[in-house]
Amino acid sequence: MKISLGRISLICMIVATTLIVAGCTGSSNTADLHSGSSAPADAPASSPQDEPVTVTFVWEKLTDEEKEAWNESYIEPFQRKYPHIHIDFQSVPEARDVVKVQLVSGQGPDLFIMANPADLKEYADAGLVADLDPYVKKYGWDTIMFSWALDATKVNGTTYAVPHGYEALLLYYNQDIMDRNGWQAPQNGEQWEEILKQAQAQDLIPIAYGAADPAYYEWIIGYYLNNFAGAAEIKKALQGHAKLTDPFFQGAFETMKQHWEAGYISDKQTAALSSDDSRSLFYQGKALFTFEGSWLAGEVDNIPFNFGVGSFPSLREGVPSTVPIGIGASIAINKSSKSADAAAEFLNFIYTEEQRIAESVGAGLQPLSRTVDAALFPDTMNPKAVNILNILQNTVKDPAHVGYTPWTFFPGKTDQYLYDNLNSVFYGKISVSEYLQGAQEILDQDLKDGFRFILP
Amino acid sequence: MKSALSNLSRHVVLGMLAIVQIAPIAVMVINSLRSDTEIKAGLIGWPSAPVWDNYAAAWVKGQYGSAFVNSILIGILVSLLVVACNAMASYAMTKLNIYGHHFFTAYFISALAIPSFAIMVPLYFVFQKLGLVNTHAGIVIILAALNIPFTLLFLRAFFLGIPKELEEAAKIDGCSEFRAFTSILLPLAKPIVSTVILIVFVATWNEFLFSNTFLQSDALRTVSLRFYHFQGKYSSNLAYIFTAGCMTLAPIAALFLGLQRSFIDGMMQGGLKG
Amino acid sequence: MKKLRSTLFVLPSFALHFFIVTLPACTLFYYSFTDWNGLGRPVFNALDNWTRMLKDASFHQAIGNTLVWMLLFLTVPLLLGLFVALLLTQTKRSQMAYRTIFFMPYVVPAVIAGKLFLVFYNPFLGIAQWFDRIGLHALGGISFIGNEKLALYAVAFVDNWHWWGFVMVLMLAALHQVDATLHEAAILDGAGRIRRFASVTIPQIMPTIMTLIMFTIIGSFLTFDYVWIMTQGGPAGATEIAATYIYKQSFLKLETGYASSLSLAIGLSCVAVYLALRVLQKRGVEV
Repeated sequence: MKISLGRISLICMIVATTLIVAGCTGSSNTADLHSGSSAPADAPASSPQDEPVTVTFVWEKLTDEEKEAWNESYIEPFQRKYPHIHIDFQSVPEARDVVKVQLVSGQGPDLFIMANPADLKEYADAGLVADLDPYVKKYGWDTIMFSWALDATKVNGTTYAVPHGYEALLLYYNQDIMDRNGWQAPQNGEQWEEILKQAQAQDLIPIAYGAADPAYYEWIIGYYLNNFAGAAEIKKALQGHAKLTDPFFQGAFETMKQHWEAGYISDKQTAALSSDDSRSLFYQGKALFTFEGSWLAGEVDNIPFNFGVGSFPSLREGVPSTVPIGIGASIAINKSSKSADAAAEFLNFIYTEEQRIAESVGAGLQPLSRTVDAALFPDTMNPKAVNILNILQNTVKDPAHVGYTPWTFFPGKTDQYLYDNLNSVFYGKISVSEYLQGAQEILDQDLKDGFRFILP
Repeated sequence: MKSALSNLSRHVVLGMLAIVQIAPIAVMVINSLRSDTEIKAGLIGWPSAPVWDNYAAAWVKGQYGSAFVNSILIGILVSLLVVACNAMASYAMTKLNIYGHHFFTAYFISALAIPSFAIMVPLYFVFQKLGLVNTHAGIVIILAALNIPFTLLFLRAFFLGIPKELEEAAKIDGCSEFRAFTSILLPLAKPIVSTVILIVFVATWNEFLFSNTFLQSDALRTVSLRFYHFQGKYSSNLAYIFTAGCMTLAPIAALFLGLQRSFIDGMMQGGLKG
Repeated sequence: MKKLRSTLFVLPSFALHFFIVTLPACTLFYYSFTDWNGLGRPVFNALDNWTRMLKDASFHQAIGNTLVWMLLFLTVPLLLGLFVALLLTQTKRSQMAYRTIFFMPYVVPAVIAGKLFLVFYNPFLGIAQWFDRIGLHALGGISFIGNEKLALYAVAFVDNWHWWGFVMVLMLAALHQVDATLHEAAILDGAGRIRRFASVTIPQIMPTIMTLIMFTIIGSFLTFDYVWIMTQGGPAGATEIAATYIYKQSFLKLETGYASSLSLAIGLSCVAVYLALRVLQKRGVEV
């Protein structure tokens, strides 16, 4: 067979690549090692007699910076203290699906992320996650973690997961643009609409908000429901004492729809914008407001202008300006795990030592669901980030202004219905009443299936 | 004169199509030399200062070293397995007298309708019992099986198109089926076999779903999975993503160029004369 | 004996596929009659899933979109691929370059191509900016993904960009098979270009065309990647196709039993279509 030039070059390329790669493969492993963190060295808490144990821990996809932060803040300090417990930490894309397949096959990691709080009930009912009440008692987690956060990870009164970060939905605005125009942060519905209209008149995007993935609609639903219907009404509806079809909820969505029609919300382009995109727009100064949460604290270095952050304005007389709060992800232990005790030890470790948690927040990780003395935040941390976190902490202490994020407090199917079908409302395919009727049907079913509102 | 005009118009049409096809890729290549903030400020633009470091950084962060070895290994094994099985099968189905050839055709066409996520859980369950999870052997078997129906049907279509005269010529020479297969038909089939190798290699190179689920250790994971090192929950580093895209694309482009020759060879042999 | 030995040639492909794909897929039959969340125990619910399917308007919309998608892909890539392949057979110089360029998009992973085009389509940061800058304000105002009338076509454009180069390569391989002597004979008979194309070329490459058609019809029901990456079936179901709908039911809504019945219904329909085509074949067209 005639050997052609193309074939030779192809072979050369493969050989060259293999050689380069063989040379690099060795170094790729060292990329994971980091210099030690600034935390004080803990004396190892295990003795040489302890059996070596491996705990596999699967998290969702992380950027390399985030993964480094995890290693420095949680994994390595833990390994130093408990050398006999090896934490195999993996960040897996599509973690939810992959872990599900493994669990159903009787395998699966010892510890894994539960990114959707709504999933917890299904996993608990299927007997896939371990009962954590013994550990709650053993380590006194109910004294460390926020009680509402711990309640959010209970199913039928039993704890099946440990809440991880907690968060709040806040309103961010471009302070420079506000100052330039002499605008003030809106305090009520009229001011809100007024400032949005003026922003639009100046060719700004009034609110940068991306919901290409409809799940992000949970944010806008959180803002409007809590600030129009009010937290008290939401609680009533979720306890079955009021209906989602009641006027206050209608009003919330009607107002939302009006704002959509007026083009205030991303110029009606939410379906074409990812959360990445909306941030880009905000950072480039093309938008006045953006819907984001307290998690933006990790991004403040990327914001090139003065920005303001505060609570979404009250949209109805008598409803205080409310900040929806909730928990982010939670962590569960595999029921068939052989290293459950070691895994629980790790969970406990993450939650203790305020100093280390404060530093982890400084590294960009989410604040855990417990109080942390603000004085412990590292000096190197951007004061704007500290400010956001302080707002978060203070809100939680202020029940009058606390609201409910859909992903934490609403039953899973209802939440899903609400965000899945919001586009149909915006695009005029169904009316607000039809939308809410459908939601109420799902809520009725959820209540019948045993959903109980977290707070008493 | 007429041929010059038709030549020109042909090139104009081809040229315009080429621009549409290549423009996005060109943007990706150019963007791999820009910084993330620059790209987010304006998608299409020239790098203000070429960031050559993107490639080195993405290579290390994404651990592309081991990924390339894995992807190449798996790609080669899967392609060879598929071609070996399918070449035999399609030849038999079209040129030989076999039992149930209508059945097999119907089977493989219907096989196209099976959604891959339907088989995920039972397959994982069985493979786990067999110890094939988190092994290269396991993923090679799965990907080969998944690539069989599609490529088999194209090989079959190709063999159906081979003129009868060729087979008669082989039979007159007194060849057994296998001899006829290897010395006359296989060389003729070079264009389509190269195509099949290319298709399967590319499909395996870019495959995500099964690779992500069945390959768990970092040391075994492939190129298509590394892309996610640059994507977090809320934000992504576009510069690295585009760089990753270029790195993913380059070897396949090389493969395509390498296999191009066999298309030309096939062309030269062409059909029968006289 | 010889016949049996020849049949064994098919065995490796068949066995490999059967045990890895078909057998596990048979579980679809079982689960389609259950209410199952994919995690715990399936609960038998007879024909509930099937009656639900008949009333499920969102599913019908998804099927409708899938048929539109199918029509788009039965025409554009096939015609484009064939047309360009024909042009290329007449182009000696730079044929390699063109072929490589046309084929390149096929090699770009869907995730990256999807992301790339999403940025292109971005109403504020993408192509629209560029249109505005060069004065085509009307085009600059179009939102490709945000507009529910355009979204499906916008996504189809990307998948087509990725796919038609491959079709072209297959057509090229098929065209090279065409016996040159038949063409010469036709020219001697005085047949013009178009006549030759219709009666010599097309019949010769028919098997490839028919395979592509078959694959497109069935593939339309399974196509997932581009739609999912770019729009996830939105906005408001405008780009919801069969596979994304089934995926959502199975993985997001944890209605795996229902999703199984949907998959099964679609799979069986495809097989039915194929069998119908076979019957047609008995009366003419070579498949």
